[in-house]
Amino acid sequence: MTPTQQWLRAGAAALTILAAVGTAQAADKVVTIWHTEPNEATKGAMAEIIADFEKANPGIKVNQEAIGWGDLDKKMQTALATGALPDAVHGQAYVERSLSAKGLLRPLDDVVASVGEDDIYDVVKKLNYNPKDGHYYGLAHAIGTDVTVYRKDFYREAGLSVDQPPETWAEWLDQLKKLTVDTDGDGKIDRYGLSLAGPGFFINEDLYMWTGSNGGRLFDEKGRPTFTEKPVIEVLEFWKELADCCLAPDWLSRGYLDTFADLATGKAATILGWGRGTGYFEKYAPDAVAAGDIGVFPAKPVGPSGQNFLTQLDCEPWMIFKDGQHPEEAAAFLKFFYQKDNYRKYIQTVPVHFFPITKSLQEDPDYLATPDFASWKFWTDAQRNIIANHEPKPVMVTEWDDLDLPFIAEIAGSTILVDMVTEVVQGGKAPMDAAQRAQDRAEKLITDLGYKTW
Amino acid sequence: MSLDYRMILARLLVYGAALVLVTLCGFPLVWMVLTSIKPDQEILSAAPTFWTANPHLGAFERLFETTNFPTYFANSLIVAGSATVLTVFIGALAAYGITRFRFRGRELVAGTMLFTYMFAPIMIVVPFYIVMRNLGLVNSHLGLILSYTTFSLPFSMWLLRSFFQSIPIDLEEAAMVDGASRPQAVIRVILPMAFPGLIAVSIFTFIVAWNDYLFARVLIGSDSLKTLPVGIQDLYESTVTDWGMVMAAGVMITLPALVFFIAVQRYLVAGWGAGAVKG
Amino acid sequence: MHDAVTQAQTIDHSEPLPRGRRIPEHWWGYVLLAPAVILVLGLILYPVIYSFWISLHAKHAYLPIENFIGLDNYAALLDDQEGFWRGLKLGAIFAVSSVGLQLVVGVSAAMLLNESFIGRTFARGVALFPYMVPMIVVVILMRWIFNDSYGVLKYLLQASGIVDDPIVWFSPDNVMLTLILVSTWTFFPFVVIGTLARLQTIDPELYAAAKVDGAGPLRRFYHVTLPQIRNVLFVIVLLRFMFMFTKFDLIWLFAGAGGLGYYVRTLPIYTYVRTFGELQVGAGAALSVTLFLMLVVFSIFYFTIFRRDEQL
Repeated sequence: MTPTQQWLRAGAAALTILAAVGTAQAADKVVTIWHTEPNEATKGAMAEIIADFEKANPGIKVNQEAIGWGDLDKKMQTALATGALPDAVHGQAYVERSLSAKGLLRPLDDVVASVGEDDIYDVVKKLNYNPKDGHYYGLAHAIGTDVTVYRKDFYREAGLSVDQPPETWAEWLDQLKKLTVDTDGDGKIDRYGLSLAGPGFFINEDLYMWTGSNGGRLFDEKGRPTFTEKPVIEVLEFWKELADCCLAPDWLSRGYLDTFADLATGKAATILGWGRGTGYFEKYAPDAVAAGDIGVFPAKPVGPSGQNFLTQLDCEPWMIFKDGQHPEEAAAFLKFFYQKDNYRKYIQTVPVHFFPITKSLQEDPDYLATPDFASWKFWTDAQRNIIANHEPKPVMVTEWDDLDLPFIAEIAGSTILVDMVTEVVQGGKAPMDAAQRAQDRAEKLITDLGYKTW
Repeated sequence: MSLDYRMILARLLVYGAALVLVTLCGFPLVWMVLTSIKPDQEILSAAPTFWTANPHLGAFERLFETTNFPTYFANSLIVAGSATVLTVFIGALAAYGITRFRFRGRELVAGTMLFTYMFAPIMIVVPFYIVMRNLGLVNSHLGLILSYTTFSLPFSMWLLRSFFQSIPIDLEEAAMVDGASRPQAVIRVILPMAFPGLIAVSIFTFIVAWNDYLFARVLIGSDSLKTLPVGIQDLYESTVTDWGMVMAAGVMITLPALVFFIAVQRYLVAGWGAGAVKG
Repeated sequence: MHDAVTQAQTIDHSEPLPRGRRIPEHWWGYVLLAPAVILVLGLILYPVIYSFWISLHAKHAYLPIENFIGLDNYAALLDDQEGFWRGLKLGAIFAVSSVGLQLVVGVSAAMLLNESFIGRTFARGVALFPYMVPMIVVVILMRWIFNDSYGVLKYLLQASGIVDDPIVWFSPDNVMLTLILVSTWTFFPFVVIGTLARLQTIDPELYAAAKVDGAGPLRRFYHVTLPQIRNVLFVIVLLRFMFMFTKFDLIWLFAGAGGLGYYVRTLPIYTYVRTFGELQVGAGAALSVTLFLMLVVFSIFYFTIFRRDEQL
C-alpha cells in the first residue's frame, strides 16, 4: 500500500466513524414538541401520553423536548431566527399575540372546541382568545397563581392573626416589620419578614404585580411607557422601604428556590411563590408541614392608589407553528393531551402548581383524590379563589390590552425595569430619576424596534 | 547551628504552605462529597457539620434511578471522547504538515492560531448556530463534536507544532532509510516522542468538551442528547432543588475526570510547558 | 527550529519519489492542513464575518426586520454610557484583578510545587483540580459555599473569629469581589501548569551560584526565577486576560442579567442581553465585533510594549 493510500484510508475511516455518530433516521412523521417541564415526573407522564397517542395513531411519532424554563426564550429565538421550528411549544403569554400577528401560528379553535369552550376558565379564554380576528392561537397547558406563602408559627410568635391577610401595603409592612426578628438574642437579625427572588425576571414580576395592585399600568393606550406615573413611583418607594426594613441584605442574590429554602428553614417568615414549591417544604421542613404551619393567603394587599390587587397568572400556552413540519398532527396530539384521563395524569405530576384549565376536572373525583391534596388542598383553594374572583394576569400585563403590544418580550428581556428597581432599592437613587431614565431607555428601545406609535 | 534552624523553618514553611494550598483547592471538593452523603435535614442547617453520623447514598440512588443522569453521562463521554480523538488526529496532521513541508501560507496559518482566541464563544454563538443549522447539525452529537474540535484545534496545533519541531528529522529519516514508509515512520518514531504533547492536547480538548455549557445549551434540545453540564443545570432548576442530589451529580462529573487527570498530570505539565515556552 | 524544517526540506527533495505517489510533495502540506483549516474557517471565521455583516443592520432576533444602517450600531455605542462604557469599566476591573490574582497565586503555587516535599505529587494533583471542575458545578458549589445563610464559609469565618458580622458575599457591594475570588480559584491552575513546567527546566546551578553570591530568597526570585519564567508569563498573561475579558458563563450563571447582575454587567453579559434579551441582534453583533477589535488592539499594544523588552 502506498503512503497516499494509507493516509486516504485513515481519513476515510475517520469519516465513517463521524458519519455513524451523526446519522439520524426518520421514517415516520415526527412531531416535535417543546415544553417547559423538565422535571422527571412530568416528562414521564408526557412519555406515557405520547406512547398512548402513538399507539392510537400509527405513522406519527412525537418527540418531546423538555427545556429548562429559563432557556425557552433563547431557544425559541434561535428556532424562529433560523426557521428550524418545532411543531408545538410552550411559550410566554405575551409572545402568543405577537407571533399570531405575524401570521406564524395555526389557530387552535378546533383544539379549544374539543376541550369544550364553556368548560374553560374565563381567564384562560381572555388570555388565549384574540378578539380582533376571533380565533384562539394558544391554549394554556395549565394555570396557577402567585400567592403569599407564610409561616403560621412565626405569625403567632409575632402576635399576628394567622387568618387575616394584610389588606394594604402599610398593613403589610407593619406585619413584616414585626416578623423581622433576632431569634437567638445576639443582636443580629436572623429572620426576615419577606424573602424575594432577586434575578431580573422576578423583579419584573414583582414590579408589574405591585404596579397593578396600585391602580397603575406599565404602558398607556398608545403603548407608551408610563414608568414616571405616580403608581410606579409609589411602587419604587414602597420597595425601598421594604428592602430597608424587611429583606435580607443579599436578597438580590436569592434564587427563586432559595426563597423556599428560607421559608423552610425559618430564615424568612413569608415569600411570594408558586405551588410547585410544596415538595421543597416536604423535604426540608417536614415538621412545619406536619404541624400545619405553612399557610397561603387567598388575597394580596393593595397599594395606596389601588383598589384591587393584581397577582400573576402562570399560563404558558401551547402554540402550534403554521410552518412547522406537521401542524395538523401536532393539533391532533394536543386534542389527545387534553382528554380528561391524559390531562389529569399530566396535572397530577405537579398537582399543587398545575391548576387545570377546565372546570370539569376540578370536580373530578379522581383528581380530587390526588394524594398531595391531603396536606395541600388549602393552597389550591387559595388559587381557585384568585382565579375565579380576582382576574390574575400574565407577567408584564397589567391590562388585557397589553397583550397586543408587540414589544413586551423585548422590554421583559431587557434590563430596563430591573435596573430601575435596583438603582432605587440598592443604589439609593431618587425614584423619579431612576424612573425617568428607565422611561427614556424604554422609549428608545421601542423606537429602535420600529414600534413607536405615540 | 543557625543554618539548621533556618532549614527546619524553611521546611515548616513549605509544608505549611502546601497544607494551605491543598486545603483551599480540595476543600470545596470535600464539601461537595460531604453534602452528597448527608441526610437532607442536616444539609440546610445553620451550623454545618463537618462529618455526618449518618452517611447514606440516597442522593446517588435518586440521581441514578429518578433522573436521566446516566444518559447525560454517556452522552458527555461520547461527545468529549470523540472530540478528543478527532482533535488529536486533525491537530497532529496539521502540525506535521506545518513542520515537515514547506508551502505558501504556512507561516500565515501558524501565525493566526493565537488570533482565534480573540473570538470568545459568546461573540459568535448566534451566527455559529445558523451555520450549524444550515449543515443540519443542530440537535446532534456530531454538531457538538465538531464545535469542540474546532475550538480546541488552534491551541492544539500550536502546541503540537512546537513538539514536532523539537523532534529531530534525523530520526524519521533513519526509519525511512530502514524501509519504513512515511506514515510508518510517523507512527513509530514521531508519535511516541510527541506523546506528552498528544496527552496534553487530549486533556485540553477533553476539558473543553466535558465542561462546555454554552454550545451544548444552544445546540442540543432533546433530553436524550443532553450532555452533563446542561443536564445538571436542568436538575438544579427543576421542581425541588435537591441539594444532596445536585452535589452527588457534581461528584459524579468531577471524580472520574479528577482520577484521569491525576493519572496523567505529569504528561500535562511537561506538554503544556513545552507549548507555552515555545510560543 | 527552523533548522529542522529546512533540513526536512532538503531530505525530502533528495529522496526519490516512491512509485504511486501522484501528489507533489509540497501539496502534502495543504492536504494535511486542510481538515483543520476547513473547520476553523467554516465554524469560527465565517461566523465572525457574518457577525460583522449583521452588525451593519438593524436586525431583530426573529421577526423579519432587517435594515442596513451602516455604522449606526457602532456610533450608538459611543453614547451608551450605562451599557457600553460602564460594561467596559466593570469588565476591565474584573479581568485585571482576576488575572493579577491568578498570577500571584499561580506563580507562588508553582514555586511551592517545584520544591521537593513528601506528598508533592498529591498536592500537585489537588492544586490543579479546580481547573477541571465544570463551570456549572463551580457555580452551584460556590453558591452553596458562599451562601450567607447556610454557607460553610460564613460559618468558618465566624466560628474562627475572623469576622463578627457575616460577610454578605452576594450583596451589590461585594459581588464583584466574590466573582473575582471564585474566578481566581477556578483558573489559577492554568498559571500553575505553565509556570511549573518552565520552573522544572531551570538549571539548579543558577540558584546555587546566586546563593554563593549571598542572594536572599527575594533576590533569587527576582534575579533568577523571574527572568527564566518571563516568556511563559508573557503568553499566560495574554491568554488569561483574553479569557477573562470575554468570560461569560461564570458571570452569567452566578449573577444573571439584572438585579445582582447589574453590578457585574461586563461587555459579554451586555452583549448577551442585547442579543437574547432585547432581541437586537444587529446591536449585539456590533458589540461582539467591538469586543474583538478591543482585544486586537490590546494584543498589539501588549506585544509592542512587552515583546521588544523581552528580546533583550
